[in-house]
Amino acid sequence: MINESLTPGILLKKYFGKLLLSLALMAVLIPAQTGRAFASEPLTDGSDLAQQRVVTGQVTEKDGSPLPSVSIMEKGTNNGVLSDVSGQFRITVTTANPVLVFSFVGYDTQEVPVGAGNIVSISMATSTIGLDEIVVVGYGTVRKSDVTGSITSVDVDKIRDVPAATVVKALQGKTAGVEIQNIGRQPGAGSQIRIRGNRSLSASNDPLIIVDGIPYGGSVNDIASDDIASIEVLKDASATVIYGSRGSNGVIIITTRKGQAGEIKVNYNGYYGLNTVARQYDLFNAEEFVNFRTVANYTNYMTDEIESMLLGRDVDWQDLMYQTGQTHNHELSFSGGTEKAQYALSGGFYSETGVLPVIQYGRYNLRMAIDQQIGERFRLGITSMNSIANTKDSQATQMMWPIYSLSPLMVPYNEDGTVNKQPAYDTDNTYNPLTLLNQTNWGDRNRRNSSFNTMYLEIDLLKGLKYRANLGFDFNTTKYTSYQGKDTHMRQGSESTGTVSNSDNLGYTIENLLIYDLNAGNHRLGITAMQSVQESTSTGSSFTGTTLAADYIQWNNFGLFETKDASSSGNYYSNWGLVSFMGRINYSFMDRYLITITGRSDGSSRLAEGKKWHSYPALALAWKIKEEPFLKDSEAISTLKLRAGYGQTSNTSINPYSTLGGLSKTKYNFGDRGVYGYYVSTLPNTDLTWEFTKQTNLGLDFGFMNDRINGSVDVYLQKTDGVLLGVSLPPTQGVPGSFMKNIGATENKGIEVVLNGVIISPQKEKGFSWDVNTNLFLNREKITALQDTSIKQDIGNGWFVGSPSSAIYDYVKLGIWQLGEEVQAAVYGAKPGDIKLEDLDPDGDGPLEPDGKIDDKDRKVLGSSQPDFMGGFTSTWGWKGFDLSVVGYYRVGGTIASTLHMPNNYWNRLDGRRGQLKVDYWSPDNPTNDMPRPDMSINAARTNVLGYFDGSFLKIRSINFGYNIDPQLTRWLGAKSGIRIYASVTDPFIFFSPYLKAGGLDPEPTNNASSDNNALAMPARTLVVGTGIPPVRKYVFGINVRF
Amino acid sequence: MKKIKYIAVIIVLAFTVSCEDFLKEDPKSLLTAQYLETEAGVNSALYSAYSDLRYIYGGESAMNATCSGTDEWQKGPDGNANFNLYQTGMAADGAISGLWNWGFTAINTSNAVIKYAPLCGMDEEEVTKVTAEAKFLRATWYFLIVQTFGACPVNLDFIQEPSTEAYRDPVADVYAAIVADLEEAKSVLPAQAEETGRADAAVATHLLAKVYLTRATTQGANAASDYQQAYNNAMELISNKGLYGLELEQDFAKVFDHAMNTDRKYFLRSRGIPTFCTTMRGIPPEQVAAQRTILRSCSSGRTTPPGELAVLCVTSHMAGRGIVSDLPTMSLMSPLLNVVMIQDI
Repeated sequence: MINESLTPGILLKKYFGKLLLSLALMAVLIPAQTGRAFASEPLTDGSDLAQQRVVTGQVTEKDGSPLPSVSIMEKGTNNGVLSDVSGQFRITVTTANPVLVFSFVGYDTQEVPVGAGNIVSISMATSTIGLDEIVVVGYGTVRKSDVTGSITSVDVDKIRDVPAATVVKALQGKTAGVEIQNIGRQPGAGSQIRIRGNRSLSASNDPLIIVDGIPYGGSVNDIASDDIASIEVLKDASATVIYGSRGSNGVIIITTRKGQAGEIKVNYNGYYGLNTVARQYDLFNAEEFVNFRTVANYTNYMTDEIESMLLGRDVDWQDLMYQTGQTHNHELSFSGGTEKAQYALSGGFYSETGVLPVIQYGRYNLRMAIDQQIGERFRLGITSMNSIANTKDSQATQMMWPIYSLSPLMVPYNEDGTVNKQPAYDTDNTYNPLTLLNQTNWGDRNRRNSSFNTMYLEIDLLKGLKYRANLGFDFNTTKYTSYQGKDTHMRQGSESTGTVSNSDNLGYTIENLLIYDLNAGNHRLGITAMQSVQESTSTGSSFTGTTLAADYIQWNNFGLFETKDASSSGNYYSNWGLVSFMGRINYSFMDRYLITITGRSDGSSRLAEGKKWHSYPALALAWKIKEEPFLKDSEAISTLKLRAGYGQTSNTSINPYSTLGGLSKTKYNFGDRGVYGYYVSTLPNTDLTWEFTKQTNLGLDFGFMNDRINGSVDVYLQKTDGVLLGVSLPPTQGVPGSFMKNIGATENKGIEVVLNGVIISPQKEKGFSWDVNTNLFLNREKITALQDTSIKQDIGNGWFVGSPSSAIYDYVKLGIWQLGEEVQAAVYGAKPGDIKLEDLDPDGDGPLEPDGKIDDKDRKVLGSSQPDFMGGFTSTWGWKGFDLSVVGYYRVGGTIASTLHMPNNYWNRLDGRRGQLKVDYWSPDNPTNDMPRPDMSINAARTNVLGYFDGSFLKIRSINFGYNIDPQLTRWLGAKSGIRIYASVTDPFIFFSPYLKAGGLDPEPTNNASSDNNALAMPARTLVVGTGIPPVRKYVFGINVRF
Repeated sequence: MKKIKYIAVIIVLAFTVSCEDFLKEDPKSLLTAQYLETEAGVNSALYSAYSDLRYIYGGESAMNATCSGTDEWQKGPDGNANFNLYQTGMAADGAISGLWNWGFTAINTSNAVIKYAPLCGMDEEEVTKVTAEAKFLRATWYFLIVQTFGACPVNLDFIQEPSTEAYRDPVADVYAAIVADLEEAKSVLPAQAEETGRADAAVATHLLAKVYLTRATTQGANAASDYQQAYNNAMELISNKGLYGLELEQDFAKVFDHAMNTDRKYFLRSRGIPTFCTTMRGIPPEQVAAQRTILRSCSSGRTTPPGELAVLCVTSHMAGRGIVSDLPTMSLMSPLLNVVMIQDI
């Protein structure tokens, strides 16, 4: 056996020598795989020599790069050759009307008759659904045709169609059952992923993320898209039970690229993007603003404003401040190896500036993957993924408030050209947003370092039995510093403040697995047994300081702050451990009837003594109807499989130490002596446990015409009980706050439909092709029980039995009181121009009967953000070397809460005191039913109704256009080279959106109500479309070089 | 080759680790209820019980809950509307609910002190003193609660288990508990506190006098001897001024005479236990006439060091006469004010 140290360096040195060896190995191995005989000359059978023809040609991939080692057989004979390194072949055929059969693993087989010319060149397409395709299921892989649960494999190449900072953003609309909402629009902003709805009311609904087999505790934003080889989404319980106590919210498995045997491959992907504002806020201009203020009766103009009106000055603060941001992305990777050792190395750099000046986001990635076979039985591998992500000056989003609220009549610059610091000096202390361009007296930095490493060792013990050990090591640190000087918009004359916070997280996972596979005729058996431990420790420290001697020091010397304080929440130590055992049996009979039985048992440190362990069983069955004799030879139906699964999983819904109770701190003093007091603020809670979900899933996979049209339908029902809810204790207990109990129940049910099709398949090489991937899904979420059977609603939290979580509960707006309706309006204490609300006043379960007054009882559940259905589509066209793809997704139904339109925040105050969204407001000359008469005394509590809109939309997420340069022209780079240039637009269009028509910018939410100061009295978890950075459209130009 | 095999086996063995340690929780950055069982914890619980008084006296809560809607003051431009008009929703007003919620928190914390002081290793003297202070605080809160709400649960034990049931005990029981606590506190606490702001016998006696006086007119709870007891306790203080470090204001009217020069501060002196406190300089009568309620509360958390600040209530209808406040009325109507003596500074 070859026994030499195998570092990439040495491999490279031996490159040329090895090339010949690897080619020779490939030449031996590949025919062995395909089971075809290797022959360079046909076996003569004594037929007429005159019929011998020499046919030559070239086999390429769809993008034009050559395909070596393709098997070319003369149909009806044993005569076959392989294409060479440049894809060319030469075969001597003997039959009359010869037909050549081209086949290669992973590609669609093609049969091409030999024409008169003796030259046959074709391009081969990768199989859209390969029955031999491998799917990662968690602690192992299975063939796609053997999958029994509801698992979606995301085509990573299609993900790269959407150049996005993070892979999650690129997943929008690609997977049925997975809803991805953006949280924030600034560079580096994150996303929220929901698989099949929300189950938990108080705990997290985020899915578990696994990278290379190890649970990933870092941020998905840190993974570079190019490093990802495949993404699988596990949706139903029979698939996620394998992760037991963390499986309720679904699992996303990411597998990164590994090296492959063969010549060294180099891949460079770089793009440059321009980020522009897609739509600006539609604000009143100077003239409209003056008209508005006249109607609002707010006419005490400031001197500056009067001057503006006389001079006809009109300031568009948005034009003044918005800029075009830039995105740079470079990724370079090397991979290669021998039969025994493979490696992959990659490095990348991404940076982005947004539409507001000053904010920057940058990320560096470095990754290494090595797989090494030692001897006959040992395999080991290591991957290391490292990244540094920097965000600079994200506080600059605070510029949006002055941009928005300063009126068009105000003056940004003084006469001498300097910045007018407080243009609204009479009404507001707000600073001019231009002051934030001066970064000497404010700033913030956030740096996240992350290193995620995995190692495995596999030993073949006996025939069919192997042992595998997985080791994962995850370490990340975050440092956040910020400073706001006295004379800045953030402080407005108050003392300067600074913050420095550090946190780190260290986690490791050790898994031992025994895997046994047995194939005996009609029986295939796979058994996996696993034992694992996982531990994670996080610590944090955080300090704030007030009053700094000099602005330029910022956070660099905290000792120079006059007063310093340490917050109790920012300083912490947290540690949790998980011990697990798992067993799984996969059995298939006659490759037709499959059964999977899985069980996992998890013990967690977070639960109280004696209650730490829980078990999770699952059962899945599948029937490959296609393999039945009555369908086996059907040409029309190429795939038909029925799946059914049931399982129980849970959600690790409680944080470490929750069962122990806690004290809170107060301060006091006796004369000059300051003291701290502690009292019990949380009672010990030993009954706390997980929230358990039982899920049933029924699915059908189908495919027609050799899988040219294929797809699946899944129907599921999930019931979650033990949902954590706060139970109010009587205050006389002496412990303020609520007490968490596992007492609620929720339910999710839905349908997912996936349909993919090759609508036009290329008739000839590089001919026109068109294929489409679509998905459509709907989920019906509802709360089935709250703290008690008698409790049907919790208005403060937006929980209503029978409605989805975070339901919108408010008055019903009928319109605006018009002139002529004074009498009816007076009944409710209103007058023309006020909002007309519906008078419901239900008495318990009785019929709705107006009672002549509008009060708290006139509210009802108006809806929630849950849409009637949603889905996505990707359409790809190809012709010659060009390709065009369009990615879109849509939502139909659902109600969005737009805090932009709600007067109780200051963005649509309707009082004339500040800049104002351009709305259709009522005036005696304008009898609209849209917005009420502008008025200082508007009743804030009842005006949220102005902000509810239908959340439907169709968004084109990206349009991508690319061209693969003719490989003949790039041959100088290398044999298997290729260059693709491309251009993309992301978020170009939004159609069919009632919200856009009503003046909104983007119907997708921007944040949770809890983090929006303007979401008055809305449940914390409601996703709202808030105010903030306008939506961004990106134009990207890139090049991808492979050699 | 063999070497590699051995190394691999060793690695494998290294991966099998023991399980139990992973499942134990060891909170290193949190304080749990066990801390209260230590000496430092008992003291901290006592300080917490003291600090709860600020939720009522440190802001406007006490004033809102007790003075509003009386002749003390009327409506202000914002807030407090509920009380003046006795609208529904008063019960949910922070001032009223705060009194109930924080009261019981303080009572429970005091119970923790009483329970753990003897067990934590403190010396005897300390234990007695600390227990007595906790009892005083408990009594203070129960007195506030019983006057505002009437019957309420009497919790004399530290509660550590959640329960969703609560029962109101009759007013007589509440008073009985208050009196028992104060009698004991009075007999054990030092005459004058060593440290400003801590309970002492003087304060306990004074509060007891008020409790008896109030109970005397409370139907269902009064005893025949209440008036006499009130008198006895008050006289105890007045006769032993020196011992308790107190003094009486000689010219009572001085407090109300606002025409005095603006440098004078007329205050009610308290014993350092937070009272309604406002610093206010003298206001010329003309301004008083023009102003509405201008009572502001001091920044919460400040106790009143001896000899300085105290309460001042300005009422609009008293303006013009230059009368700053109607002290006797205030005293009777707002028993929350721990008025001890009046002193001209």
